[in-house]
Amino acid sequence: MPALPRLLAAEDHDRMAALNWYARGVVEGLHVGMHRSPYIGVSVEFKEHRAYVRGDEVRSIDWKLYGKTDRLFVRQYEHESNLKATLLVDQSGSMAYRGTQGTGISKHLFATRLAACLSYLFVSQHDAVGLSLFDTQVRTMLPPRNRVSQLEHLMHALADSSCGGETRLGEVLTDAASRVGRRGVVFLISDGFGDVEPLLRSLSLLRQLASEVVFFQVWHPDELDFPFSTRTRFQSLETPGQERVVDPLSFRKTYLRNLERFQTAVAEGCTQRRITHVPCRSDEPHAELIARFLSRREAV
Amino acid sequence: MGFLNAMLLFGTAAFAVPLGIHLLNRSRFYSVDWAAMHLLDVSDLQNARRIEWRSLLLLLLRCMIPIVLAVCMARPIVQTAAVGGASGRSTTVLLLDDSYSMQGRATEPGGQLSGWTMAQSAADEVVGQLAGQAELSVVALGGEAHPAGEPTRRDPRPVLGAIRRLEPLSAAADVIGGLRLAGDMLTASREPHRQAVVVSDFQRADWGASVEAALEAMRRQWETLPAIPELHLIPLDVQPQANVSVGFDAISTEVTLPGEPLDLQLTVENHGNEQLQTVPLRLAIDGRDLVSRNLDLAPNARSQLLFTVNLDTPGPHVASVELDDPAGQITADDQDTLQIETLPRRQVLLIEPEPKPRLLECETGFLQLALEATAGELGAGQAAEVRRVAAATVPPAAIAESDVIVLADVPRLADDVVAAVEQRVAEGGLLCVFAGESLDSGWYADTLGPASASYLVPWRYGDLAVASQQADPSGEAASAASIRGGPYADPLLAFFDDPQHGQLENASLTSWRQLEPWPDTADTTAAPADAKLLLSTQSGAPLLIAASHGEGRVLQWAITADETSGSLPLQPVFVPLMQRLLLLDLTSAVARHPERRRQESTLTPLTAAERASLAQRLGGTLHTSVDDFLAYDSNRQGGREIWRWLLAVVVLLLFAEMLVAGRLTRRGGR
Repeated sequence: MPALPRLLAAEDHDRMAALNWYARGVVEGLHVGMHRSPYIGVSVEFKEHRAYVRGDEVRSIDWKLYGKTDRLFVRQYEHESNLKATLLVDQSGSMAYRGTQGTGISKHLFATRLAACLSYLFVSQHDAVGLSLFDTQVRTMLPPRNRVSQLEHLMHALADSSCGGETRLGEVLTDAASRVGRRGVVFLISDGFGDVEPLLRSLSLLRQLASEVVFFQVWHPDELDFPFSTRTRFQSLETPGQERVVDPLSFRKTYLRNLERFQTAVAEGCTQRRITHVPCRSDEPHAELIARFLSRREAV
Repeated sequence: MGFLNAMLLFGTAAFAVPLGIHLLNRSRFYSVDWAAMHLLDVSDLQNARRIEWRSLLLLLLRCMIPIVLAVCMARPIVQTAAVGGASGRSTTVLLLDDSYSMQGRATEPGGQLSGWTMAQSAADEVVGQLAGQAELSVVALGGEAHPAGEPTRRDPRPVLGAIRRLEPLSAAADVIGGLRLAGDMLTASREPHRQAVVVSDFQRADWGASVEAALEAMRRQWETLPAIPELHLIPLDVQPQANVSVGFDAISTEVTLPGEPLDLQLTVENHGNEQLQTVPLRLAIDGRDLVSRNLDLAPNARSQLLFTVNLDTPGPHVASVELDDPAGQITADDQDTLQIETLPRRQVLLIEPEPKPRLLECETGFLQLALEATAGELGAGQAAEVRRVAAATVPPAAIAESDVIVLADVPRLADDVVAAVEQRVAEGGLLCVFAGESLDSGWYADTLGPASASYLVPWRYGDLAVASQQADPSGEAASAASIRGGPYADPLLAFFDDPQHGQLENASLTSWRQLEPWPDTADTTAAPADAKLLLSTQSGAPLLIAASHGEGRVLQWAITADETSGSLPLQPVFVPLMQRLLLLDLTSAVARHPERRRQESTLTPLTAAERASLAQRLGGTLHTSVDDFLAYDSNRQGGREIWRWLLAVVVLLLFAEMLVAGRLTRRGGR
């Protein structure tokens, strides 16, 4: 796996190996796994009895109970399934920002490493994981699988990805939602830049299809602190030609107010739609971020 | 509105600095590829306008700071009606330099007017403007500084008349005396604003390094006054030019006797750079030409001439010297005068107890030698015609003819003699009484004391005191006492403050009559009020008392005129002491300062830089011309300086700039 060392450091391996993801709700999967399945079927875990109706398989009748009660009951068993996780990674132009100093990592690289860690986490616990890379549309789509080779495919896809172009997050997520199909967990890793309402509508659609939607909103520290002091011309990473000259010292207050409004709108929209919203900075360790997120999630 | 330093208004152009920085910053910016473009949108239009307004306000504040600061430094004057009232009162002392250097040509267009003409014109203008607004006094600096005319406030005519009557003197400017006089006048003033205005050509000899320390000390003294006077210097430029000066340098004596040869030393100096030939010089006594001579003078050279004259007639005489200056501009130093006093021969009557065959055995022998000495202070002639008589055979007529009557240890006199002596002294004669063993103190108390009709001796004679019985100040017995040294209060004895003229303390005394004031009784009402002790021993015993009597004077000694009482007659100081006391009487020498009188003859005014430095050291204001001063004073009189308020505005602007900049750039929380 030549791509693995590039996206996953050794400490990430160790950290992910110590973590487990437990589905919060039931999930649908093809393989027997560690998560509860909505299907009652072949299993050793008894769930309940119910009255026999015509059409039920005769072999499912609990004859011992019939001998005791003289009535026909059918035994039902709990079906344990593997989890199907889908990673939606934004590779639009806005994810290319890496700061003015040029020493930090870009938001896109942070997103790919975060996705790699999550992939490793799910594959290591035999869950199916898929990947969807998108900008204005879905560029790469790897359906969820729980094979070991799936991890290699994911790593290659993530390593080969590059960012650029505009973002139509709402449309792309709607398209992605149609591909998620069955109930599972969807991870959206994006800066979420764009109009808030289409984004929330798409996330709401995803939430209806998936059992859980987690939105890792990636911020670069510059975008949170706005540390500029000299008069600056800001050129759009997504739309060529779009620029704005600003005196940062006088504009900073307004910027921070805009930022707060945007963050509040996204956070409140996610909460209303029962979407887990995880703001994260691109300069924090992604493995630690996942660990902290899982710890908080289990506590909840 | 006017400005005292209008040139500094150019500093307002400094507002271009913040404006340029602002424009430069607008044209230069840093480029960043940015993702969150939607966060850069200013959806709140009101907020955007507020940001723009604050930016413009900040730029305005930053431009206003250098502008207001420059205006502040230009010292603006705001004219208000209130200032012309009570708060505008002032006292002005105009110090006008009427020294002879002011006769030089002024450096004005054409160069035809003298510096003195320009000074008078300037003084007229100053008086004309200040009259009615300030109490005005004029001090003339030439020679010895003195007030010219009476102070005036409303009517300037007396002061203008006094200025018109002034002429450049043949003496240098008395700068120190003038400023001291002005300081006294300003100190006595009660006006809130006080100023001294100096109109001078600022010759280096008057204002240079020689008087620098005194000027600065005076300025420090001014600064201790409750209202510190302002000092304004108005220079009048006088052209350096060729000049010749003449003056008396030295004289063998200023008090002489008839027929005595008198040496007069003259100094003639060419202050120019050209050789002068056949310059006529005339020396005159009492207006009659005595010597006429033509002189050849090398450039920048000094010649000394010695003339010997004889003055036969007693009384005051005037020696004058005059030359024809080829340059002709400065005439005050082309002549000099000298007053000489020729004394009449003094008739001295020495009365002794009994005559002796040999002179030095007589009671008055040493005294006669001293008065007739040819090496005395009064020169090579006989200042006195001395006559010695015995006390028993004194003709009253001789007393009436004598100027000086000496009683040398005379025990007593006949009544008619006493009456004659008293009458002569009352008419202006001098009585000198020496006391020894022979003196009958009881007769003196009864006949010449306060109880008598002829109250001649101011103090009472007591017993004879011997030095071995006295104790010196250290408490140890001594075989001889000495006369207490100077300084002496009496002008005649002040001559001996200089050790070169003799030291009285070198004389030792073995005995003397005790002297003490008469008892304070009703009979002493006629006692001389001015009786004063002139000499005493080191232990404080009185030796010489002086008092007036009518028009004359009485000297009362406690010792004898010979060597019986001590070694005083044997000392060199005895001759000048007796000559001064008995012959000069109250005549005193006139001090002369020939160097100072002629120090302005070489016209070397201070340079502009030196004047500026002088003004700075004196804490004064140097004006370029009288018009400059008048404009300054006009602004002061008609307006009020507001630079303090503007300085406060600058401080407020700085605070406002910090506040606005802080609000624009504050990195507050979200």
